[in-house]
Amino acid sequence: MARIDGIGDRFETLLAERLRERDRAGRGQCPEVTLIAAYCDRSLAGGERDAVERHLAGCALCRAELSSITTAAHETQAARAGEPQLRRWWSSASVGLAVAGSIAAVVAIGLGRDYYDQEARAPAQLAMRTADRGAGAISGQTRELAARRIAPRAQMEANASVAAIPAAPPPAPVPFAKAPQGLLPRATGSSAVRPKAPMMMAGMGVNAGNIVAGNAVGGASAPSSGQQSRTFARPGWAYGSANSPDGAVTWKFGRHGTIERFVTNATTATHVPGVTSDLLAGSAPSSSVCWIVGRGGTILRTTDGIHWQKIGTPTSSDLVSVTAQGADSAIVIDLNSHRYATSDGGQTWQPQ
Amino acid sequence: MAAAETSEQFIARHGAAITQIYSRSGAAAYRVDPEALAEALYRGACSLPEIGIHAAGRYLASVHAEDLALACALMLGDTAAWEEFMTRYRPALYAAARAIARDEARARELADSLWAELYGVRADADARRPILAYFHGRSSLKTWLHAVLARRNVDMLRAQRRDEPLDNTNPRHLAIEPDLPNPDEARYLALIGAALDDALDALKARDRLRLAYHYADGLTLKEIGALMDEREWTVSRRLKRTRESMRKKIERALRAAGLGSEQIRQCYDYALEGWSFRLKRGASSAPPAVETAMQQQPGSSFKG
Repeated sequence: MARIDGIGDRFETLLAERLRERDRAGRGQCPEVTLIAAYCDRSLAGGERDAVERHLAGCALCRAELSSITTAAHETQAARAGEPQLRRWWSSASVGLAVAGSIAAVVAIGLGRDYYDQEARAPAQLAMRTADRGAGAISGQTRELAARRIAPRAQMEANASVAAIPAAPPPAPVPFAKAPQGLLPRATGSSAVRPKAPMMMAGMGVNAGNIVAGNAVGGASAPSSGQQSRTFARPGWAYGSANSPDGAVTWKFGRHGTIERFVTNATTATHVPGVTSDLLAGSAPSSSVCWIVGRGGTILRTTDGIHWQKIGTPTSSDLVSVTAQGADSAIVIDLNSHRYATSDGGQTWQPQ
Repeated sequence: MAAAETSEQFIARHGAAITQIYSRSGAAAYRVDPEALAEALYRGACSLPEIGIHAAGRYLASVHAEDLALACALMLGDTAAWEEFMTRYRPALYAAARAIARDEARARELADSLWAELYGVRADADARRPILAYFHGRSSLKTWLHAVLARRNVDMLRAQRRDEPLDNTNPRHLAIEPDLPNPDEARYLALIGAALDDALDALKARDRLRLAYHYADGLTLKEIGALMDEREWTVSRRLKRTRESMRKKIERALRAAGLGSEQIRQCYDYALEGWSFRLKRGASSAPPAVETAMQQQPGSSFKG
């Protein structure tokens, strides 16, 4: 058969348009998240893999999801390794545009499709209501990643061995039926029996750039209000961070009421007296004001950046999010999606 | 797995494999007993789309045992497991949300909501199945969490745009237009449309997926290679081969319908003209939403 010349471009245009139209038409129900994840990990065998690829070929939505997952995997891997986050192809604008375009195109035209497990969707929508739209903690996370890049993981681990903070003794198992709220043990469980960590006075931080990882250079003396100060060189204690809008100060918070404050060339770590709960979320509206919330309805606030005050709480549930607008004004959310707001520094709280 | 198989039958049939999985999973360190892990494996086997003992065997052979044990321990409320999860996965969860959403506020919302749900797994455990029960160890826990985030991100976008008008472009671009001036045009469009669809349907799923990535999504060869675990040159070679084979198939089908070279060329012209017409007609609906989202997504402030 003689090949017809000069229609190559036309064929490719036609093909592209037809493939997009097939995407819009949709091809059956999308695979469950579990299957997509297994496909990403190359864990599917021939038949299942073919089925997923057959679906992917006609579903821009799932292709966009797949691209997102791959992007996330690469970026979190890079962040964890502590290596400089070079702009790679998967985080480049081209992929961003492609993924965004695919998602947006499908979102714009495919609203009527039932594309995933309804059983799983209900809790998803429930949880969505707990979302806190503030952006403080994200910028804090970004700062944390920057800190990790500056202080290589190996050095942090070396610090950990020097610090020799005794690990918490294995806590007693919490029977499932006896703890109706949250999976983590209450503060009165493991935290209360944890031995106090020794004060670390020796300079052992890695001065790289403007952050000293895991040390209390110049900050080893205890704050005057009776709050203890110590270093926490053991990596991985922090559950999150909040940084001030100007980026000058970052507070990291985590296990057993631990808070660390990062400023230029110095890190101070603090334990607020009487607070042993795990701290889960924070928000810093300025370089001197920060709110941190945690388990058992714990709410802490600093107005000078250093000294922390325990604030009256509207709930005994675990608080998973906080958005602060200033020293007096904040909104907290518990894990049951209840929101409470204060405009008088926590003296009174109004449910929202 | 046989659909009618009970948990006890499953455990009896695969006892040796389950014991081996238990020993390499580290479940004992989290105080997860063998029965709990076996139950989780049974749930995983029940979720398999394929039925049969071989499918269950393959699942057990490839299961991510350590991650499944961790998920079991989390559901059972083991303190050490939660500490492990908090330190290893929570920061990664937020980083992944940023990478997926590419918008600070939405990333925070995504990660917070998922975290709250994971953390509050026991809050109303009686009322619904905890989300971790959907993790069957068929992938790593990390990848699964990323997949959940990615799907919810799309969910969120869909919810935000639910009120926007839908694209009113004709979904069947090669459908016969009612007012075509040329009687041949309708026939040519129908012929080339059918030939193109037949050629696409005849492709292997993987070949069609490669085409979709390249032509529908506009990904580069390198990007496609990363997604499909292929080298760049392999993607290029296979795309070329698929293209060639499709062109030949379409041409063969059109010639079988009695068309000559010039008429085949005419088929393509008609099809593309029809497209331009429909694109102009539908231009007022789709682009704003797409453009808005595309402007919002990339770049953002996720410089790391």
